[in-house]
Amino acid sequence: MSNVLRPYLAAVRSTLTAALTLENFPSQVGGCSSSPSVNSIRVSIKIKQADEIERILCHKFTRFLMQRAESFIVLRRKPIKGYDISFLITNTHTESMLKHKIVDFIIQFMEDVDREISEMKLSLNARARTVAESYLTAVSLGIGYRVVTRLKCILWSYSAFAPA
Amino acid sequence: MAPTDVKFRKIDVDAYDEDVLLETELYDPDPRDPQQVIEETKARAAAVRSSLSKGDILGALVTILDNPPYGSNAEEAKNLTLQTVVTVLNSTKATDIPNVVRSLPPEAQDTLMKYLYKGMGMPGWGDVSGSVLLGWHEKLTEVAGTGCIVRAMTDRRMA
Amino acid sequence: MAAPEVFNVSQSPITSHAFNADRTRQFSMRSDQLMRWFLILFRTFALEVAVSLNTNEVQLFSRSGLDWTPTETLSEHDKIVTSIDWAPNSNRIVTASQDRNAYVWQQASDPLTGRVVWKPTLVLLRINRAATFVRWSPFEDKFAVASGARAIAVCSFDPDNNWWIAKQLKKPIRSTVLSVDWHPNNVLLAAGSADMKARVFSAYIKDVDKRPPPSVWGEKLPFNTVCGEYSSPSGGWVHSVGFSPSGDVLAFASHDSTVSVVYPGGPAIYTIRSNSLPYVSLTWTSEDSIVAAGHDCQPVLLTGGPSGWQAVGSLDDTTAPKSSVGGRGGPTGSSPVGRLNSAAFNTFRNADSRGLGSSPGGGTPLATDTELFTVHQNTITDIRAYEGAPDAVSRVSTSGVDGKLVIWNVSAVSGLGTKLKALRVG
Repeated sequence: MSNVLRPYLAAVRSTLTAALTLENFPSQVGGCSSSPSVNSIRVSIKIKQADEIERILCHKFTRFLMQRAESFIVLRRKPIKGYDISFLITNTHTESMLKHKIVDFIIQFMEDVDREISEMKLSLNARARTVAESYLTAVSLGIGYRVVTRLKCILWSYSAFAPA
Repeated sequence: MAPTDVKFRKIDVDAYDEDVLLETELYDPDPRDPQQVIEETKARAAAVRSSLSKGDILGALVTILDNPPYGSNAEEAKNLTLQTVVTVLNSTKATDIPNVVRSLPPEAQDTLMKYLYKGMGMPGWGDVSGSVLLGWHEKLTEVAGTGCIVRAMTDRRMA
Repeated sequence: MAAPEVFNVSQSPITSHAFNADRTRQFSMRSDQLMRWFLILFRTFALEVAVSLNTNEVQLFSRSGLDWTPTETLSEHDKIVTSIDWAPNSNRIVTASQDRNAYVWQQASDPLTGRVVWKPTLVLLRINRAATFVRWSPFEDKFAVASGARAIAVCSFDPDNNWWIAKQLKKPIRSTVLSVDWHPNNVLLAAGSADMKARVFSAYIKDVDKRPPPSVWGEKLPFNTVCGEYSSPSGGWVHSVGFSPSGDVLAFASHDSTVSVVYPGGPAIYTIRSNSLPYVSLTWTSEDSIVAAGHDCQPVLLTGGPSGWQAVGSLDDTTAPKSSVGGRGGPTGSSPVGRLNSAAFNTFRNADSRGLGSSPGGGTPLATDTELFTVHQNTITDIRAYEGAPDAVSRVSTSGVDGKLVIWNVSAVSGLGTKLKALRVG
């Protein structure tokens, strides 16, 4: 895990642990035909997107996950506006699953998403470099030099955050 | 479930309740006059600057976190408090943080936690730095535990 | 240090539990061996427990040897049974439910089969919201039902009409009442509410109660007199209330992770700030000790007196995983971030500091095998005195969302570890 992410995940973990203290609390509208449980917590996550490539990857990746929302149970199909992913945890979840495992799951999830996107981007960049290099041999060196430097810059700045 | 089935969820049921429990009933209002609160906060900000010039981080934090402003009409005083708290946090060496949080009185620890969350909710505001806040959050949680976070969440006398 | 007795009742949460006769009586019976054998011979003595498994039914279990076997199911409620209480002397069970009703259950022989079964009597509570909590009064001639209708129904038996009648305590309750507790004088009632206050009411019923002697809570006490009103320190719902054995002190646990102890005569209120998650249930074990439990998954002992209160330690030994499966985990002890004292956290920390785990494409090695170092693996919903006189309780019982029922020795306090040292008296 990157050093940038660690203190952030530690804060998310302790905050979630404190927040996930739900109970099976009967709703004020006791006679309502819907589920009487109104006790829930929504967790929304914004994934770090440093540039356009990350933005595209993040969009694709979160869309992929949302389409499979039911296998994650707590994952919502649509995130809250301004965020990339939303979880909705109700008291039934904290009853049927162990609550510390829900916290573990979300933290693990955030860590995985960060890593997946990093890896996708690295391979994307590697491919772009191969293309650029083969392109370079064919065209003028002047423009090519700039392209390569730029790509190297991106790779370097990214490797500072990438997992070891 | 068809979308029409969930429409009732968007109805504000409280609007139909003549005996609704209002947010303001959940805590006793600040007995101080708003003008007095802002004056006090300004005086404290000055005291904090003088503490900081002497390198007294703990004294500065205790000063600004004691009897903090709360309630809906104290926004200006709350923002000044946040700004002052952030100044103190930013001028503390990372290695000093554990000792400072350990020496804070329990009430001040709870108030500091409230301001850490307030700061995290306002990235880029003033001198707020996410990584500084996260560092303090981690150290404060180590000392005061998740109980301190719970109190920052439940207390309606918000920062 | 005797280990707690753990009984895995079910996979689903236990909302509430109540044992039959109080352990005090059985304890004294044990001294009279002859009497005890007599009772066992004639099968009139059997340890039983009633639990709500987060459904509309109440399940009774009977103890045989070291095992618990299901005996009878009480089904009359339509919605989740929120609370159960078992009157030790009159052997009656009262249940409260989200269906807004309460039932009093009594044993009677079935006219067809001749078998002794539990027969329900509906109690007209006259509330339009869920019933949340129920407790028999000490003399067992009344019971109080807390509800979401911002009211408490105080029920007493009307022999002329052969039914239970309810009288409501309403003012000044502003939200759902979450718990109640009776004063030993059978008249005063403490209530904890989601309006973030604990209150002491008079639940004096003219034809039932004798005028109680004056106490620290007041002298003249007509029905609905408010004898005290106390706010939770940092604005959390008041989950649980309890009078001390003498009735002169009140304790309440609220969702701001605090326990407050009120000496009305003092006047002094002590706040014990927990550094862990909120307690939802508490019980006095003597005039100077309380055991509280809740989201932290372990019962914690608090001791004190008129000059101050502090947390002493946990009844749970949280230094090692509870299952026999070892080898995971790594370093034990309190973790740096709150109560995350789990094998998962340690694996997580190892992954972070030593770069173990998180291999690309390796899936999620951490989320598969995690265990808290506490006996209960999820929130404790209910804690009750199990054995001993009210002012010298030796064992307490807890039930949890993890479906476990556990009996703890109050004297077995462990771990004045780093974690609990940080608890302070405010």
